[in-house]
Amino acid sequence: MADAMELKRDTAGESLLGSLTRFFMSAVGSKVVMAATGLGLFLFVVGHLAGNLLAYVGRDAFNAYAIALKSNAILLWGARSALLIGFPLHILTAIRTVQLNRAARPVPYAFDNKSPARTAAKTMMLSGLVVMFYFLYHLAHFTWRITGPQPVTLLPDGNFDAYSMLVMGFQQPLISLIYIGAQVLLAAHLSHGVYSMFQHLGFWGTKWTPFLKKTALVAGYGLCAAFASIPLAVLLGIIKP
Amino acid sequence: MKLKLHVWRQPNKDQAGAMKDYAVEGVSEHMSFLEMMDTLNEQLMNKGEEPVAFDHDCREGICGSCSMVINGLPHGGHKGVTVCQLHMRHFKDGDEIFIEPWRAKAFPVLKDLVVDRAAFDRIVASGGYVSVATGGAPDANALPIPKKEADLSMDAAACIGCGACVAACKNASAMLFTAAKASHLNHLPQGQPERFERVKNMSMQMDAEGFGTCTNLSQCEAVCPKEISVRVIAEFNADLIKAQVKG
Ligand code: FES
Repeated sequence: MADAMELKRDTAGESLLGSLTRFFMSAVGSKVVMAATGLGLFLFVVGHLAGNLLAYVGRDAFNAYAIALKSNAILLWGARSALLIGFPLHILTAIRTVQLNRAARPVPYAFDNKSPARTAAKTMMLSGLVVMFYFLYHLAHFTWRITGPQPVTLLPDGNFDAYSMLVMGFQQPLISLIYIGAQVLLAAHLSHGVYSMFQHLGFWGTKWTPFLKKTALVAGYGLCAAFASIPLAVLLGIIKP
Repeated sequence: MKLKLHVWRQPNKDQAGAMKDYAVEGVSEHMSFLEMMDTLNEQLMNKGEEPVAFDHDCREGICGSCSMVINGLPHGGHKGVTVCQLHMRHFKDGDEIFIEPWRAKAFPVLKDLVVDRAAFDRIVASGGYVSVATGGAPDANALPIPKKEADLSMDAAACIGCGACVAACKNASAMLFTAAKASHLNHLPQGQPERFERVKNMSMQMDAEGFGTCTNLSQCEAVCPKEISVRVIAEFNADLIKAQVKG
């Protein structure tokens, strides 16, 4: 009798690759992908901010960082892989799960769903989408240098003057405004994401979880404020050309 | 008191439904929400109209049958309360109330406010049990279980399977239910041998039923009449990840 009742091993005999693929396509597994890639992208953002803040130290420090980033293979490929692997997986999984979620409720409520949730948490797709478009524009400006004002002269040592590019860009109020706007949405995204990724990865604690929720708010909006301070400092003349 | 109701009417699974307006009179504040619905149905039957079908059984908050979304909130949104325990004193004369069924692809409407929740049964059947012969009732404390673990198990076991979590969730995800049904076993020694197979099977069944995916909005926790914490969801995810690593 015990035999007949035994919890059947539906997944027995599966290959490692097969079972991993099945897992990462499942509802929970796709959230593990979201969380892991989200963590990678978050760490990238933190590193990026640390570099940006060198603009306050001065031209030489900032340019030295820009050069180090390009010439140090570990730094460069660490950052690139966070983006090249993290971004596509994060975005594709988001699209897939949003489709699943929409399909899960074909008939909408006549009266708006009032079940409480933070707005930033309910609009992750929107904030993510805006940040993604901003990211592409940002690459076009600062990485590929195909838009925005670009310095014409090289540094005396023959290197590109990234500091001047930053200052010249942010001296344009419109560019600064777009930058700050994107930061606010990134902040909203992180204010949920930084908590959510731990929950998806299975971390929960009576003290730990409320702490994480606060950390996510502080991290999201704190990063946003730090990033946004740079164009403001340029516009106010604190960071000088 | 007199109320203006907007109620979802749907003749059967295959025909489309719509919200219909009703005025109900003679509602006392001492009535439960379901008694108010009974009053409406009496008035409808007196007029020769078809009464509103809705699920109910125990009417004391333990069976999980009752299921209505009231003004956008499953069970009406009062902390730890099912519709059958929701009192009309929360409403006042002249109030307008929208009453809808749980909305999810996995919960097809059978009639009016009655939905088919067999998807939950199939999730439980896929792994929400232990396959050991339990025999007769053992002596108390013959099997030592730390108080903390027993409490975590009991908190999850409070789930009455009503489905409010799915109804509340923006994504119509069944994570809170599924994880609660795994958690109450996974905190007990009897649940250990099949712990990882359990979460794997239940997760697969949950997906197959067409529920959405969790985005940690905690709307489920907010409306759960048994106040089950999203803690169970984190545990479920952690167990699935471990199950993956262990192969
Ligand atoms: S009728 Fe049993 S819980 Fe409401």
